[in-house]
Amino acid sequence: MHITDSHMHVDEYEAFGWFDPPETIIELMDEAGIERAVVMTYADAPVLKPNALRYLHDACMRYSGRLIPYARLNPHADNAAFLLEEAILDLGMKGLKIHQESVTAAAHHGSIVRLVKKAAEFNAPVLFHSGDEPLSLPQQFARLAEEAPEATIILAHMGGYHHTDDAIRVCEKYDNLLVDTSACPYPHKIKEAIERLGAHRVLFGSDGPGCNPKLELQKIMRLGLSENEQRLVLHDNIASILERVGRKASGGGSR
Amino acid sequence: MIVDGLTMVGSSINGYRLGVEELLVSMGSTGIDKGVIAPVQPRTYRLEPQNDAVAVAQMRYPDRFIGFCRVDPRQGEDAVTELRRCVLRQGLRGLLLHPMEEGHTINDPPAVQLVREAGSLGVPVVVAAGYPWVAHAQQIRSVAEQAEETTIVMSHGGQINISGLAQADAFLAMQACGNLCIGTNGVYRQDFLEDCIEAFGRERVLFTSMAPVFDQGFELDRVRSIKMEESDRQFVLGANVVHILEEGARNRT
Repeated sequence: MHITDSHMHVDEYEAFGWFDPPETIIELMDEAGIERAVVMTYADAPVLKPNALRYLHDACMRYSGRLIPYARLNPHADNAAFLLEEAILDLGMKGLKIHQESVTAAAHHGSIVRLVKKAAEFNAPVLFHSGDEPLSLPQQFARLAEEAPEATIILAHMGGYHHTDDAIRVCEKYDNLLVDTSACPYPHKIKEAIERLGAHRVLFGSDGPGCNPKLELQKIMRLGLSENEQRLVLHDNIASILERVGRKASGGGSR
Repeated sequence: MIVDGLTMVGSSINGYRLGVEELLVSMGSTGIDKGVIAPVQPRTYRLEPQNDAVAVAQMRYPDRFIGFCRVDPRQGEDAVTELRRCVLRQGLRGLLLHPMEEGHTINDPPAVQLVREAGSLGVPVVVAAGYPWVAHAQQIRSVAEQAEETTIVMSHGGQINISGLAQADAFLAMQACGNLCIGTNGVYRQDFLEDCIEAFGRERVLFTSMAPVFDQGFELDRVRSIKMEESDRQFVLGANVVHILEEGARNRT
């Protein structure tokens, strides 16, 4: 069975104390039997790390075919939309990552909505942090989901430790919201998400290398999913999302 | 020997439940030899009968269970009396404080008094840790500084945050207080556990599942996934809990 991890990190960022060059995750991917991984930096371009996109691009080129880059951006930057377009069209990036605590804005903030709509012009998915922090609460995604119904929005971590139920509830209400399983500490809640949302809306992610990809994979394997559900969660869902990136250009992507 | 440093038995007012027999089955299927059991917060709000039930389970399965009592610091002197009753009369071997569920702040004076009392009785305290406002690591550090004779185990690695934003506080607390340990349940990023073992030694990180809130089998997998020497892993998996309990008992005698 093919396995694609939809949430990993490659970055060497001193301020956070996290030094994870691509070699680190390749080794962990090999150990876990993961073929490909979506990767992003820890720091946002261009504010925290001006060269983040170029760094990530170069890192992925070293392992071409195995690492799939998402542009992690600060939507408040004047040139955020330009950087996203450049990342997708020129650097071959396949999605956008926004961490609301890092950019100090909730998912319904105007800057974020505009950038998410820009990503949607390219059919590029947007991976958000979701958890227990004040700017990352799952119910905050309702407004964004309504304002950008054309966007594919993924709630990483399924709402963290105390907002898992909220993550499932908000996804039940809006079809363009999905969840990833990364670092979710409750295997039974992942099973519940699959039952309530359908396996086609749950993506395997590890948040590696900090979170051990092998352990995160074990978490999925112990759920007792059917072969079809497992295939969707571990690979097919993210593969079909990535396949569509760059195809549509309704008013954008025409540089 | 594998010892789970924290489970909670009974039917909780917060919607989760775990029976003693059910826990034994889980331990059997995961290869866990012994487990610390503490009460849940029951629908009745009365912890004394729950403590007695834990004592009965410990007496019935002395080779499988290590009983901890649970008290509510808001009960003031009554809580201290209950702690003493549980340890001295019922033979329970530790104290669980759950500030989030009981609704107090861990460094409120009544909670500090209980932690100090536990130390003088020679038993460790497990704090359900990491909850914002009531039990974050720097609040627990403040307690640890006021109760140097007490071994305090912070569940959740001392921090509950799925961005890792609270890890620095937990790390600093561990650095400041040698009487603080961390439990492994639900910890975001295994490399935080690895960093703690490297910085503070294998003796201060303990396997805790906090079942049934967390999945016991998965939490055991979490400890097995830590990148560390196998000889060190035995300490994390069980020897540390045993050592803490024995050390407390020695001090008591």
